[in-house]
Amino acid sequence: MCATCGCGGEEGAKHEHHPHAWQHRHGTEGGRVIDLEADLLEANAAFARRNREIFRRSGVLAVNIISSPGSGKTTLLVRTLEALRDRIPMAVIEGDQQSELDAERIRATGVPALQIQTGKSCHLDAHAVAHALEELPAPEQGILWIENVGNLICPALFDLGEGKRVVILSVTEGEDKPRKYPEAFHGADLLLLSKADLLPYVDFSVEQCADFAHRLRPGLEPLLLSAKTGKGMEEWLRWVEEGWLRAKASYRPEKPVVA
Amino acid sequence: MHELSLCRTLVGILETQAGRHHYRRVRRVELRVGPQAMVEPGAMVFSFGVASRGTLAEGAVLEIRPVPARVVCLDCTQEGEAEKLAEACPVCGSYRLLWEEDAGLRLGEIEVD
Repeated sequence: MCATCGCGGEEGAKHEHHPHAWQHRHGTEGGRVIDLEADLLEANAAFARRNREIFRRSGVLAVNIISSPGSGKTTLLVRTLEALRDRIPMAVIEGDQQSELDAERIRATGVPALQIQTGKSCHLDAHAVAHALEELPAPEQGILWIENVGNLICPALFDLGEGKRVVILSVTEGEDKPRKYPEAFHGADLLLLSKADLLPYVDFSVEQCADFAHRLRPGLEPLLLSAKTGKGMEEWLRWVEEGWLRAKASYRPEKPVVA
Repeated sequence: MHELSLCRTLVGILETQAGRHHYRRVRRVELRVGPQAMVEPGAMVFSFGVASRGTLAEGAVLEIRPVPARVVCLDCTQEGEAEKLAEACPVCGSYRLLWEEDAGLRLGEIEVD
């Protein structure tokens, strides 16, 4: 049986109800009516809370990166690791449906990486991250990068226990994405507009994109960035370091989290 | 298609609760869905059919009930409800709404035998 969640054992509902709470109501289908009031995302939320507590006590900034495939998540991550690896302990969890390709690119920077292959699944969940942490412990007083599966829809629903959520939108995708996929942007702490070096060649209105983003999350300012030319990298790294310093301050090594 | 994994969780809850509430068959399931839940009703109904096959919930009706979220306007402090993201404040027209309460994705009433 798994130590983190007890999978293999009895899983599921945590709600205790008095067996007669339903009384004798009957519904439209002719059966007895019971109000279960169970949260479908509770299982994920419980793992997310536990992950968050681990990160807090280890003084770790966990960053969940969400974007569609091909927006440049891995390239940005590689540049970021190269810039910070000498000063900050880091590790990377990579989510993809298949292959070790991304993890290999990360490992080439010297930073440890673990690839989660989600198979048919379109997102990472807090349970998968909890298991990943057994193999790849979060770097104490450092940064844990979690590169989610390339998808602007499903990952938005699943809290991983991260401290910060970053959404990347490449300028080749169009400024209307926040309108089309609102949830990803609603939950974001930072919006990165990647491939900014291509702006002169595409019809992408930064202003409109910012306007849509504000409607979904007041104060969500887009940051223009090009991993290729280095534009915006300084500002991005400053944002990362600020979050890291804050997370680091919560380091409490003497109290391990008990499952 | 995260709907399928959600439906597996749903069927799992129905099975666990069967012992507690003494039922053998589920006829109807009510799902309360907040605007942030990211659930597509069509995909949910389809996935529920797949996930419930061969279980005590096979053939049950899945009722999806949207529940609006509680929001507060950051500009005029008007409190109200929102049915989807990126709605404007009905009083001052501002889009700066703070989301306070969202039903998320909850299993509500079930009808059983």
